[in-house]
Amino acid sequence: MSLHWIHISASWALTLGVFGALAAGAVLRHRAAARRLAVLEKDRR
Amino acid sequence: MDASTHDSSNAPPDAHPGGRPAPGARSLHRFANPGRFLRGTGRLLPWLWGLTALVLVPAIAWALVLSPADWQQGETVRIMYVHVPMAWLAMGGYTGLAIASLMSLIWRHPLADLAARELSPVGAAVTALCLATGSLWGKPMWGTWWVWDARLTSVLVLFFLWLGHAALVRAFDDPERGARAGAILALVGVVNLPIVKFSVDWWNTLHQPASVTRLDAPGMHMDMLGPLLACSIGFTLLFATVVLARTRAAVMERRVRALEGARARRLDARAAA
Repeated sequence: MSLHWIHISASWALTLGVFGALAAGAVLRHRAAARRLAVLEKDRR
Repeated sequence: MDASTHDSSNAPPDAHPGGRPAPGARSLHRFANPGRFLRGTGRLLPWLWGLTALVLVPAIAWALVLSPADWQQGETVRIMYVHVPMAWLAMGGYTGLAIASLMSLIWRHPLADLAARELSPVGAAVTALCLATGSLWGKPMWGTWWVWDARLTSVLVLFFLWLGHAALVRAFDDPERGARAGAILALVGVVNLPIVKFSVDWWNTLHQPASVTRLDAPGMHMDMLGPLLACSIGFTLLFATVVLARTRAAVMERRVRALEGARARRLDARAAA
């Protein structure tokens, strides 16, 4: 792999990695809140 | 935004902490109702995730495999397909932050505060990616990772503005005060956007001048403009979907805090009785 391809791979890996982490973080936060909300709504009824 | 002071989950759509909103703001406040927002985004988000994958996967293949190498830069031009969308998102996202801040300051739009709060970490991330991919592109092309020219420096300032906003809105015990301070910072920072955009025209920079968003015609062949626009649309969809998902999660977390507070009060009352 040439030095140019190392730079290309690093750029794309960084971008996809950061966006993947942001997307996964959002989905996990959403799931945790939905689970907690379901328990609290059930308690309230 | 504090659940105890600002929870309008069960309030009418026009409910507002400072009284009734201005007549023009009523239609905006219709969308500020958390219940309506959760229902709408619950239906919209699965489609948005799907559409993002549908656009981004072929765009990545187009950029990395199918598009030609540049006659001067060789394969390194493929960094452009992530660097330029990140730069556009950093600036476009900041414009979105400024609009949300304006809505927050003028109309006290409850969701605008939350959207701005959830937008700034994502904006900081894309601006950091813009700087990092720019460095990775600059080293083989310019022979240096970094120069203090006007474009690079103004984008670094933009990164600090995003980071400052993310930190400031979380720095106050009262979330409403944090949102207000963050909104003022975001609006002051708007002055940096034309500096970023026109820095390559106003000063002599190592960074190249605009080649896509020129008024006459794009100075780029269609073989490269095509994948660049496809990647820009794909990453913009991903950015918007992530911000919307984070805002939705934040609305649900606020509701959780409100219900936990109510439950704690109920238990206290029972213990006192």
